[in-house]
Amino acid sequence: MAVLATLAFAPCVAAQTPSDSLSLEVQRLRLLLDSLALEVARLSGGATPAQAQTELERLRAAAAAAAAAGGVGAPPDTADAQEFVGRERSLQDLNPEISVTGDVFGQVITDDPRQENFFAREFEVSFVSNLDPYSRAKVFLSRHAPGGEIQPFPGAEEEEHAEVGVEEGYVEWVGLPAGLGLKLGRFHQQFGQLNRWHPHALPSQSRSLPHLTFIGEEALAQTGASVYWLLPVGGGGRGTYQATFEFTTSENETLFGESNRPSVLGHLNGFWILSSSIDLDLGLSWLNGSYEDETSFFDRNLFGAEMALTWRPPAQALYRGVTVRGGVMALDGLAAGAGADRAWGYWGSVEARLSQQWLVGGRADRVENPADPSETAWLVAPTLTWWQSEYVRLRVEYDLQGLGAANDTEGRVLLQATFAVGPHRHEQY
Amino acid sequence: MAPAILIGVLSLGWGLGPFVASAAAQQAPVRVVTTLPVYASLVREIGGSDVEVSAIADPGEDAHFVRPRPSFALDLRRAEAFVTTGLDLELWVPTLLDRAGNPAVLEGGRGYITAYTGIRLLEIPATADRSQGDVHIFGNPHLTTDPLRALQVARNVATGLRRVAPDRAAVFDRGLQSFTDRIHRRLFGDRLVETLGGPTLEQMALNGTLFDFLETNELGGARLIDQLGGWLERAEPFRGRQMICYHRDWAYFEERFQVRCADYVESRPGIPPTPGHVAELIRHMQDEGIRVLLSPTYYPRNQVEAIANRGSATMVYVPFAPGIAGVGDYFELVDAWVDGLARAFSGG
Repeated sequence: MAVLATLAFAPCVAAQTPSDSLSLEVQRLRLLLDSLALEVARLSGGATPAQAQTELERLRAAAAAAAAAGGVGAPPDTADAQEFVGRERSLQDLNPEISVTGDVFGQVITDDPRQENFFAREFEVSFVSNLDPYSRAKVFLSRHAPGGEIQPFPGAEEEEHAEVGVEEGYVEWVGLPAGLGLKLGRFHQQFGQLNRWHPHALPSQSRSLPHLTFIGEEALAQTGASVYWLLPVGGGGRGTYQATFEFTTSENETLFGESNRPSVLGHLNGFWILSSSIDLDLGLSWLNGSYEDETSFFDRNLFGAEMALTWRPPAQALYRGVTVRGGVMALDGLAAGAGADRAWGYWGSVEARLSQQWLVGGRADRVENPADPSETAWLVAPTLTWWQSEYVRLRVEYDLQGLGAANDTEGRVLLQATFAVGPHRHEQY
Repeated sequence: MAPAILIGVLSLGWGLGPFVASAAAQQAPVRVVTTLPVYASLVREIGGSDVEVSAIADPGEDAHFVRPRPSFALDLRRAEAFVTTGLDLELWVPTLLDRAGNPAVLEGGRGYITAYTGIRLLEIPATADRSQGDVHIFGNPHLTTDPLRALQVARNVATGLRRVAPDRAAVFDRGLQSFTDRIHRRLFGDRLVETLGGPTLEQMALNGTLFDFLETNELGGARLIDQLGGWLERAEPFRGRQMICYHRDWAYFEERFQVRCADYVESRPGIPPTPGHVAELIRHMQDEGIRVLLSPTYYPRNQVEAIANRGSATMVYVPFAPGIAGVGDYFELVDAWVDGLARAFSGG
């Protein structure tokens, strides 16, 4: 066996460079000699004590030969190559990571079951890549189709056609001095935590009523610069703090009308690990800009505070966990005739993991109408979610929505299917 | 005169200050963050008291599904070295690295260390197709189930630490040397290591010639295979046998200890079992007489237990990282795997 291994090793040795080959050849022949001697010793019977050391040395040589087997690869034989292939035109490996997500749903409105009820709400294509050693680029193109939206208050304008657009597109620098990070482009802004999440990743099918009312159906996404700073203090139970400052356009029509003045956003987030299973996340946000249309111009502020409390025992995290979220938003600066200066909104949700695939949850929202804060809308929505795999999720949700008094209600059952193609990574943090 | 002396003393203090600070800094341990607790254990073996190490994943947690928390980004901000598998296991790493914004531990940074470097990977899929489940496109990333691959991870750690703190290279070299010797002795046993040398045995084990060599050679009239010690000797009850595994965590353990996962509780990697798959799995266990089911503790115990009971198998429910269930370091972790399986296969 050792002899065979040594012989098998022989052609590999010839693969070395000329300067190496002579010494390797000598080594190979020595190993061959040693292993042959070992075989002779083996075949001739037991060794005397005086021979033991020699036998051991030979055994070690044979073992070294066996150990070297397969350790040196032969060079490819190119003598018969008929064609040489250049790769200058085949740089596909440098393409960005490309992912596609789809978010479709069907609904049955309990009062009007015949209403059109299937919607391909969003298809999103994302491109993510490093640009150079210092920066990354992320671009999310989406086709958003109208239909099935929650309208907190009647009379709001509805989209009529599907729109294709850049949901986000930005370059991000990480590793700047003092631990700063910088984004330039169009991005989901750091107003609370969930605003940065794309719709297919939300814990229920739509954003909260305060968000829908004060910001609109889409995430708050505007063009500009975002600087964030992870404060170099605390850690673990002592808290981890991040401050974000954003300077952007005022593209959001719900908030800013036709204003072309800049808006600024500040966000402070604190995160505490209370135990190995429990953590608490608290955030404060403030957005300032000005509302402008044909008849009015006034300063506008949107304030937000939100929390998330998560219980997730690490050893059972695949199949157990509860997350409780809640928040309050206040829109300061209402149109003349609103009868008040400020409109408030509140939301809360809970989601519990029952197994690796099943989650149950629910949310309750309440919001005041910015056009008339004495008018309120509310929503209660239990959900049941099934993860077929990491890339396919089905959800059933019942939305009970009301205006003011509880007897003015509308209900609907909604089935949502979400899927991801490609290397999509959902960045919760 | 007095002002001149004062100025002289101040100047001396000013001039020596940086050197004093530098000397103090040299005494401070190297701050290391690892993705997995098992890598943290290896860093401790190499660096001893010259490193201060923390792991992001909890010892009881499935590495695939760690939730990136802001505090981890702060840990990475402060780190001088960062150890990660470097494959598609910890997909939560890029988010944390970007948030931490620490160039020293970003990909390509001086303190960025990948565990997989220099390791021959197994189970590289022929095609990256998710109909096969949650496939790892570069190959199986659960490297440290093989003590020899864990040794290569330790070598990578030592390389990275020497780069980060060259003034303490001798410390890391000594740590690596000691760890290497301990792995060799714990895997092959003292007698074989003294007879043939740890590096030779390691090479034979890696190229698959070890058992053939031991079975066909002898010393002083005694077969070498009878001199096998350590984990490989303790693994004799299951060498060449079959078992059921929950997930494809064990590919490298299978190769090293010559045991085979004949089937899996998951219907495909990362896809929870369906009732139909469980029924088929139990039939398979009964038809083939497979009597052992191996699972890390982060899978639901009652599910693993129920399947083991239905298939008349013994459940081996073991930690997958040091730091839980009384397992303090990497050696005790492999002890738990080998002894757990040996007992189960011996009917204990």
